[in-house]
Amino acid sequence: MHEFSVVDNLLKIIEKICQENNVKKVLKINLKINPYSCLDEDNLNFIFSSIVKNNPIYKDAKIKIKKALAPIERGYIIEDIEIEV
Amino acid sequence: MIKILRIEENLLSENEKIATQVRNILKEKKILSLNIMGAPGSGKTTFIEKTIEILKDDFKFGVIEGDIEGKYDSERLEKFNIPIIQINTGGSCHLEANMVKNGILNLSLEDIDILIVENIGNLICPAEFDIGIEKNIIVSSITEGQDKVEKYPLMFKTSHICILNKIDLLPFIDFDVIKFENDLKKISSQINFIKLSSKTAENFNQWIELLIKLTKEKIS
Repeated sequence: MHEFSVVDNLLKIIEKICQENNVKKVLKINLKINPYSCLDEDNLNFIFSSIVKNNPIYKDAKIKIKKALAPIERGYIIEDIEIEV
Repeated sequence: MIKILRIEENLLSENEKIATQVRNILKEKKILSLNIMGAPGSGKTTFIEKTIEILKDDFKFGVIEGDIEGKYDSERLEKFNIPIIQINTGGSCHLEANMVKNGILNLSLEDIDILIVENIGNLICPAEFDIGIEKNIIVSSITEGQDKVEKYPLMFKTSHICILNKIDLLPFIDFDVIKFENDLKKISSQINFIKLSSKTAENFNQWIELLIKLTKEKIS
């Protein structure tokens, strides 16, 4: 079940960016993934919320998944994040 | 104040970085590497066994075995007296580049012409993770049904070679090989398609000839 490792990698990248930009709250995280990827948005949000539930910066953030990569492209791209500064 | 921060960064960038390291190491050592993927029970290990059995006096093999638990598959290959590394992921449903990198660092690469990585039995997740191995080979089989290309397109899209195994069972199972091949060509016009039986060796030579050609190109 690799939603855990996706969330782990996601947080590593986002935490660094939030520190650099003095972010108060993350509201939305937009991910672009391969159209055939098995990553499920509800599952991912469920696991993400469980992990960040005590963190005021991330606890209300919603992850949205767009299956927008070309079929041959692999990867989970963080397109952008909606933040409160 | 609310704003949008553009990031455009791949979550898997760490994996990609390590995959590139693996790729470079194998390229420098002129090793042909194969990533064998397929559903549990498709015949990956038997395919590997037969391949090594036929070519063991021609080329030096090394194997990295990936399983969630146990060393059943690596024990099957021990009789060939070749270097084998068993990776147990303990739960992860696919191999990642760092696991394969650790594997190759524990092998004497000077003594290997062909590195075979047997990935976790799974038609979904292994296709999403680049492990730095040169040729992706999907082993599908007659007993899985003819609709696998339609149902698991990423696996077939990202593979260079598709082996359709267990053709000795065609007289007993309803399987439309033409439909399977058409679905395959629709998803990837470049993929190399070989139908064979690892058990009876029917048409196995077509695969062996391809492997010899690929290996000679690599080590020359």
